[in-house]
Amino acid sequence: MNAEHRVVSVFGDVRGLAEALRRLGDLGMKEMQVYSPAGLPELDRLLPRRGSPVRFLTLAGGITGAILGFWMCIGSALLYGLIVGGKFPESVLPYCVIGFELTVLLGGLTAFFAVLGFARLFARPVPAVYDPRFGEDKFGLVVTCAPAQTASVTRLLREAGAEEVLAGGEQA
Amino acid sequence: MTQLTLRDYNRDVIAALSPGTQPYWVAVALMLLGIIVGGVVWGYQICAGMGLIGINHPIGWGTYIANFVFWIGIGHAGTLISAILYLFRVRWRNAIYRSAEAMTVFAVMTAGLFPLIHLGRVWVFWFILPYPNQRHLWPAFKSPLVWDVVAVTTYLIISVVFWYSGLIPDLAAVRDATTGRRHRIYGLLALGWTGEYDQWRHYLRGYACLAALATPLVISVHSVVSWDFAVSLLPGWHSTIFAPYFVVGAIHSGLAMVVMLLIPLRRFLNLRRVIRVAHLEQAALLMILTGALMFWAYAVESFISWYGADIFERQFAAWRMTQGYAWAFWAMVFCNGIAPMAFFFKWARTNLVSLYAISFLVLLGMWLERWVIVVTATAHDFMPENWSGYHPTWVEVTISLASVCWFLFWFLLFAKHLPVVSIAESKEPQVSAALEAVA
Amino acid sequence: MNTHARPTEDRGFPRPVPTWVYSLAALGIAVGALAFVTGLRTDPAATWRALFINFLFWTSLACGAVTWSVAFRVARATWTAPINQMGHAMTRFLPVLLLVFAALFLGRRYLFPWIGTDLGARACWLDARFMFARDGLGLLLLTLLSFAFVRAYEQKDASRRLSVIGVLLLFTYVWVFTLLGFDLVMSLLPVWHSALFGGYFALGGLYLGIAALAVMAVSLRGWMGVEARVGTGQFRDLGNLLMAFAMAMTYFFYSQALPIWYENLPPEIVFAIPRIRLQPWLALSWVLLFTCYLGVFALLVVREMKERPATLCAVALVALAGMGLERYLLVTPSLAPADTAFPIRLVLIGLGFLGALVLTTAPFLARTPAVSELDLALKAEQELWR
Repeated sequence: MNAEHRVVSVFGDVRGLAEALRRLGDLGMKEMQVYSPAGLPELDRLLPRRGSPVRFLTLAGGITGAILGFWMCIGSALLYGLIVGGKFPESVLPYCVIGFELTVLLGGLTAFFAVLGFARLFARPVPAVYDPRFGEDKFGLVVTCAPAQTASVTRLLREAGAEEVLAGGEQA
Repeated sequence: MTQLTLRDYNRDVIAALSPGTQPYWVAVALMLLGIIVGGVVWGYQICAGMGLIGINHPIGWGTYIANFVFWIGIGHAGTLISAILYLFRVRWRNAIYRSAEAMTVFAVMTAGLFPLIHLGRVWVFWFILPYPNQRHLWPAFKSPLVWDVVAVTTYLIISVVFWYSGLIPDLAAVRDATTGRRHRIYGLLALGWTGEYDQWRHYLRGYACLAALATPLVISVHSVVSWDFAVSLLPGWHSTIFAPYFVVGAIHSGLAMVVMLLIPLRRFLNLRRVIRVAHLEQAALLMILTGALMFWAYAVESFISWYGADIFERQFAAWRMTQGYAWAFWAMVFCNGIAPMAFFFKWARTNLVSLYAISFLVLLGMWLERWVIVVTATAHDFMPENWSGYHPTWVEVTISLASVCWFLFWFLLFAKHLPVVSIAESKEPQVSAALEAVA
Repeated sequence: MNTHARPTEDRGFPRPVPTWVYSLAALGIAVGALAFVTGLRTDPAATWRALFINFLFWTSLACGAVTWSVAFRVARATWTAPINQMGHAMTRFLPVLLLVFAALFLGRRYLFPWIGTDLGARACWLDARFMFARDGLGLLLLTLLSFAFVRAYEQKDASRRLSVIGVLLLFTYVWVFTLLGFDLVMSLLPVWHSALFGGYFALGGLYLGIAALAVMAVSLRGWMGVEARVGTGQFRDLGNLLMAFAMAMTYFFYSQALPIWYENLPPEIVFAIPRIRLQPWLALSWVLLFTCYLGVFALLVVREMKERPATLCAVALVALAGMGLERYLLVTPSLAPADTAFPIRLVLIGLGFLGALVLTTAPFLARTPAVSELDLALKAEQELWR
């Protein structure tokens, strides 16, 4: 069994966090998790996992909504094919409203559920490594590394300005 | 002003969630009483019939429809501030958008009551919903009333989703600061949020998508409501300007409501450090723009009524300005187009009393505008034999006041049980500024 | 990381304008003038129409660009510093447009079919002299305010005066262009009216203005030495504005089309009939819808299209060409629905306007700092929100 160590550090200054990420990246570390009280898109380039399929899925949801909207309107109008007000049953101009609203509705719901799914936002217990201060004014950096690297990672984090560094137990 | 630390935002906003005082619960109880009275009167209206209210031939739409349009409009400023200003990366929105979004949700909930109240036989409301059935009967999708149902429902759902999405990180902060049952409830609502980078990257992308979708939604919903009138034949209703005119008016009224809600909110919840007068000042500056556009719309509409050389349109415009409900017409022009110009003066937009007073005038003016639009066109249409008058009865007045109680009831509950300021987004400017130096 | 470009020193000014630029501009003016003069002899109605359509297009473009730079200042935008100067340069083109407007008075009988007809109560409004006087005064006021605004910038006057002029100019733009839309375009078909048309015309100017600024930002940043200031972030924001206004134009178009279609009233539908029933106007209407309105929006939804200068410039040029077609479609089917020949004279006169634009704006850009100190000072104000 390959045991890995988890090193948990707490930063009070986001600049220290950025510096630590840069150095860890230079060291070839890939298994890192950052905790922050605010979104940090500026750190995207320092972390291995970037981007999100949420936007693409939102587009797909929106297009589906548009198709459903127009299909519902035109299809239901053609069932009886009644001429009302001298207008064709399948008039596109008024159906743009329904098509547009369903585009937004399905696109928005898709975006929301995609976020819940990809961010694993379901009512699950908070992981043990989480510190409530990460929702306040501290930034957390959890590095998973081989036991032999623990000391060097710990030293690197302290040099970068970490207020606390906890070299955690083994993680299989 | 000393800059707040990241921790200050947590402390100030979460401190506002402390158990309510006696005056607070008295206010909630009063609002609940108002809702109950309104509910009883509505029940009476259902039993006794729509003859209890003032609408009759030829004025088939009255106060209820005016209220519907008014409340839908109120909701728009919330989405403007939370979605549109988010896309423009306007920073002053951070402290006020949560309350504005909540206002949107509750305003749309209030607005949604009125088509049901106005329906009379409210149990047949489901006829308008599109559902498959054995006789292949579907609503008329060419009808603006069906567009209304789809648009307002979409707006309510997306507003709730957008509002809740923004709440998730803050609910986690409240979870971490509480214990016992409150900790469990907020923990459930926070869905296990921990602020991991992997959560933030999907969250920010999704939030931006929701903002991008909510932006055209804001414009479309009130345009759809305006087309209830604009696609008719009536002079005073049939006009191509209605869609943007309604949207601008909606934002105008919504901004006024935001200011009127935030002034007491920041005082009673002790959030003066977070929601500063400068934030209210920005809303006031936006009201100059929307007020000016409203004045422009009034002028253009009046001009085209004359230019179009349609005798029905001309006689209607002249009557509306000089007879009948002319008092309401000129009051609306003053309150919406002229009063907000006082915000050109810095003292007017930084003094809380003047901010509150002018915002109240705007709200009053916008309600009058909805009322003038709805009532006057049907009161004075093509045939002189058809011309008539309308006055709301005690039933309509009571239910209208009850709707205000309904709105305030939910807002009061929100103010004391959910974070009224976005804690996470309020921190972003500081964090971003620090990172800019190292990036 | 902040994707907006970092401020650096620009290459200094005055910047030399290549001789070939002035030569080409002069050639364009000559071609345009020749096309106009010869056209007056062969087909005066079409020639005046071509001048008129060009006037509508270029006035909207120039005033729209100026208004954007003013709006950026009033809104305290910090990302637009070099782009503001490009908008300011357009003020130098406005006097040329005023002269063209004055010249159009001479061709009024070819342009306004209501001259000499019985207009009833509207005769007091639709009077050629009164119309040209009020529209000319509006354009003059806009020109004077634009010059005053730029002058305050040159004097680095950050006082209240700049804000007052800016706000006045924004208000004036909306009212003047609403009036121009009603007077110059809507009245071409006197029986027709649409309350939103003035607003639609004013919005079109802003759409043209932002498209022009996008093209200028891409093509002039190297010459002005502001590559570092006009980067991915600026292009993305310009693209977002262009996309937003494409959506807004579509919205304003739809807001008119829907009630008109729904009620099918003869005085309203008369505008739409040649454009949706006769060729080639029907085909051109579809082209307009899928390029200028929906096309620009669809192309700019993709983020990379906005961030790359070449693609942003290409889409902006599509928007400009589309709006040129839009101005053409607003006028020609109302005045001469049978005139379906390719409007070569329109294009040649357009080259003249383009030459005049370059000739008037290039010297301004050559001798003006690429970034004003006033705009740089705005950055500090943003600390208020941190």
